[in-house]
Amino acid sequence: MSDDLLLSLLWSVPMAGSLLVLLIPKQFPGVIKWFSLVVTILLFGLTLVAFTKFLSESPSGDVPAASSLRDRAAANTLTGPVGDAVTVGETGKAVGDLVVRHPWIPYFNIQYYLGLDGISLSLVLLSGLVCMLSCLASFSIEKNVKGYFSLYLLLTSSMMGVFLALDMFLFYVFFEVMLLPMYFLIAIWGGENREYAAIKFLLYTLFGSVFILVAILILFFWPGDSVGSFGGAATWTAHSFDSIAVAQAVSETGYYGRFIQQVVFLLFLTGFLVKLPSFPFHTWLPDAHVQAPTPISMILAGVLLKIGGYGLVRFAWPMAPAGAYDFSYYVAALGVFSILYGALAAMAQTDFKKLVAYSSVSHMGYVTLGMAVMVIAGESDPRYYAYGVNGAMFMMIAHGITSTGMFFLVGVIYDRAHTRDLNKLGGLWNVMPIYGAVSFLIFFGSMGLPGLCGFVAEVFVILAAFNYNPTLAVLAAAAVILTAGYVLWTLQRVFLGRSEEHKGLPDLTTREIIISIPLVVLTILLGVYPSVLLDWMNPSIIEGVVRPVTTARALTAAGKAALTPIKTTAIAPQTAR
Amino acid sequence: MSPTLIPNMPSPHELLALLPAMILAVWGLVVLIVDFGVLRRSSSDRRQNFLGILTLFGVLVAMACSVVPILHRASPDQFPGVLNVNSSEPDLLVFFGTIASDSLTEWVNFILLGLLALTVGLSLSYHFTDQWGEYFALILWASVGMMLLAASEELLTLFLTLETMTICLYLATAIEKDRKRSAEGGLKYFVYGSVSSAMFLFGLSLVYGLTGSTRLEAIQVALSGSGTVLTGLEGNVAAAAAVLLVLVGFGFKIAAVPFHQWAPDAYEGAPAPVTAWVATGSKIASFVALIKVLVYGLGTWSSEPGTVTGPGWIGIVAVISAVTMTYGNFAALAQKNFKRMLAYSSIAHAGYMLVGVLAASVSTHPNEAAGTVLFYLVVYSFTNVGAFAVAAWIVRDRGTDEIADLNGLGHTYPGMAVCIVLLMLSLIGMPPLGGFFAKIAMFAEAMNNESSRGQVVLTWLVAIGLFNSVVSAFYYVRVLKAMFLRDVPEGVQPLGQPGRAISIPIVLGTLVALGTGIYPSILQSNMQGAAVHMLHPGKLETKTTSSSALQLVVPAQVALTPKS
Repeated sequence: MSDDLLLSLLWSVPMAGSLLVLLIPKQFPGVIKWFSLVVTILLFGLTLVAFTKFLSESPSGDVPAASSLRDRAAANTLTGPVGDAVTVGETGKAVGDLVVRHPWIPYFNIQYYLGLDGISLSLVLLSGLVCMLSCLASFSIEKNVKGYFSLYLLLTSSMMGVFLALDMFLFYVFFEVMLLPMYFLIAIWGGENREYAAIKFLLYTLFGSVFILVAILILFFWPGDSVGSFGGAATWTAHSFDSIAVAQAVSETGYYGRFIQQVVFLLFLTGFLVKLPSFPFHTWLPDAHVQAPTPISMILAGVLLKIGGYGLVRFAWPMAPAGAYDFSYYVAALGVFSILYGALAAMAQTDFKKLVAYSSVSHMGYVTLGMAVMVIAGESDPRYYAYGVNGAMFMMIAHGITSTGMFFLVGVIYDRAHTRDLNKLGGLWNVMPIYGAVSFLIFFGSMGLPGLCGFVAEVFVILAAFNYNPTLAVLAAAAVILTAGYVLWTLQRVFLGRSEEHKGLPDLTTREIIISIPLVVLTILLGVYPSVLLDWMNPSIIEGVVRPVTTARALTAAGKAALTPIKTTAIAPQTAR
Repeated sequence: MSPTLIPNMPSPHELLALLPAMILAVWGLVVLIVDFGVLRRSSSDRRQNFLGILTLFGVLVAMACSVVPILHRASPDQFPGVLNVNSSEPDLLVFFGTIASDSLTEWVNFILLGLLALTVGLSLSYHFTDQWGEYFALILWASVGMMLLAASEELLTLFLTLETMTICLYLATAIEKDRKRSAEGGLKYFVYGSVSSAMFLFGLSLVYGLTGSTRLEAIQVALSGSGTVLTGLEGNVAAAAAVLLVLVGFGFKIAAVPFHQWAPDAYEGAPAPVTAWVATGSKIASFVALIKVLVYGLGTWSSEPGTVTGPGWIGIVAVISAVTMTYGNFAALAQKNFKRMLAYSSIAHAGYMLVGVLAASVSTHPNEAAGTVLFYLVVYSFTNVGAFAVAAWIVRDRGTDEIADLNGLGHTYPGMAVCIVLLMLSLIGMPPLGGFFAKIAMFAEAMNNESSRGQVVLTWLVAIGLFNSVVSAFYYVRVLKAMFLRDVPEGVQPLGQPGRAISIPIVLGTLVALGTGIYPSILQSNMQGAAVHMLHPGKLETKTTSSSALQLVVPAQVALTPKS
């Protein structure tokens, strides 16, 4: 399968599914459900195809598999003048490198530009899995089945697109398309207070996305700070939405000076922290989670939050490394604060779902922290920073698995007991032993018990943090106690003790067991043998984040980009009329 | 010019250039004659249908006449020079340099006629007056005014066509006689309109006094001399007064704050098709004229060299733009009436488009920037006509036009409701719809200038614009909420079948929004080609150099020496 087809299918299969669902008469809800499930299974299959392709590339070729996305992107260049017939260079050796590039809107140099590396592939795999599982979990939806599954598949499609896009404009398009299905899915199929939660989600995210868009436009239009003063013949002229090329220009030239990088970093950071979410932009999350139906909560926690983290990894840091470095301490502190705040807030909840939602805020704090612990100054070993970024990515995957599971499990008990109030639950282990076992494992995985997936992520992040700032690291490590506190207390309230009230509740059905199995397996596998993920994700992280950031730091430290003044010579506006 | 030099008859070419406008003008009379003659004793419904279809026929004939030159320009071999096309002279001023005959006017005519056809069709959807003959004639003559306004190259012509347009629209606004709202809207429109027209005329007379000519090209030359010099307005009180007064006139037409007060009442009071025509047609024509006068004619006064914020009309327009979009959006938040909400939203859109006007002045690619304003106008107009068709639908079946009347539409007419969703999303500016791309392209051009101070100022303006889009999401989403999250209220007559008159504008608007969003390049390049004539009327030699696309290096592969 050619790259063009494979990468395009990854987002267009669910999109086509979303339209085809509309053609099925609504008298057959069963057909609609099974059709959607088939579409998501097909999608997961496609992500696996992409995965095998990524692993099987021959390292001896001219475009080696282990080579960075940048090299592969360079092998797929658009040649020829803009606006004319642009030829696509995807020929010969570049086939099979998982990069696709076509012109889309030539006037603004916007491309249909997709690509996968370890960073995005891990999230694409996660999304494929989570979308499939939550589609299965959606079988209990009764209200307006057709609309639900159509929107669901549209949401899936846009999430895939977000992870695939390398063109920033295209990324933004997918990013925004995601909002509307999510809005309706919460607002129509949600709980009692669904409309408030849905509009809050929509406005928060739209607000955040404006910051992202402004940052992208600044990168596109910045006229440049003393280009070419770096010895090399810098031909960078901006006017590009190509994230790889911009990241390269940012880290290796002084085109985007320190000031503009600070601005861009803050804009990206704000935009993606809304999505992540991190304190102080997290307040939409508990509302959205509590009101959303179970499968949508799974998607929201499992994939949507990762888009925020992905944005940080792919855009905020590589596109503005100097800015990131300048603000790293504050961002790291914000991350630690988020961890502590989320954990404490979770502890205070009596609503099971809200508790899990706040635990997400807490866990996403590790992502912020892992990204921000930039131990790259001077002589220091960039390996520690690589630990941090790896930890952040690992946290996203681990959290994607465990939080999907947790929301699913909350949904299971809500379906049966019709309450999420922790004080009204209790003694469930006796009643539902399989449910209890799965819950303990998943919750422990989330808590960071050694041997399960959450632990690996936390260790990496804290290890990196320790090299950056021991105080922050100690605080972040101390949060593990709080996490253990709320998780164990929750498990105690839900499963232990005795309760006559909930006697006779049925245990997990076959469908529910099928959903839990992959999550349980992955929780253990990633905890016991993290290399299964790190082996192929790490090189991309080194190439995509650590190296550009380090290069930029070296450049800044060398004083070249550090104090490049903003161009002050005013050029008379062109008046060629 | 001595009288002897004036030829007795305009040349056939000149007449052909005005053919679409002349057809409409004559057709208005035909419609009136038919109404008072043949249909004198017919029922109101019959007259509505007959006259409507008669009008539509005339509009389509005019549209056919307007499309030929466009096709001819696109491929001169297949469409030989009939009508007003003379391919060797693509850029012409006719009638002593007062009216332009170029691809800009052809495109504007074509777009206006397309919108007019939708508006006339929409007028058939429900019964709002008995004066059908007068109504259709007024709409046609208003369109004549719009087409000529967009084509005018001279201040007096500009003023006359502007008045032709607005006077017809005043009357059409008040045509629904049995509703007080309609008369009120018409009166407000008229009072504000006549005051601002007077001030506009005063401004134009000052411009004439300062430059000695009413022709835009001559004004441009008189102000800037042989070269292109920016002088700004510092110390030039007369010029500043002229610019301000001219801005009052245009501000009224495009409903920019603080000259917007008429808009909500007129929009709400007027019958839905008239509102649609006021909100779209008159805006297109006014914006084209605004760009011609400000950016081309008075471009010298835009700012001082090297700054954007210095004394000059750029600073004024920037402030008006920021205030207009912010006010429009925040005022729309409070509205429960669908048409009134659209009125405030169209005020906000005028604010966005003023950013585009600035872009046309400051961008390093002025023609392309002006093209994005045209692009925006097209997308905005078609989506808005669709939105007003929804208003017509509600008022037809319910007699009111509250947003709440749309409750449950998603369950009764899911197809239409999805189309309306897309229209609203395009108006918010959500990708991948046309409204998004148009807005981004316009904002991008505003940032595409070389003065770093200007860039900072304009980046702020763009940021304000984008945050306003978020605010606008709040009220547009209310429409979606009503349609999908509410049930059809009990005991109320649900909305009936939309019928062709209402469904065609909605579906067409949706298609335009989707098409221009997913593949904007075709419309974009055509609009950029047309926009060249907004800034260079009559100058053939400049055309070839400036119409090419933004020449960018494809930076897919950055040739950088790696840093060791």
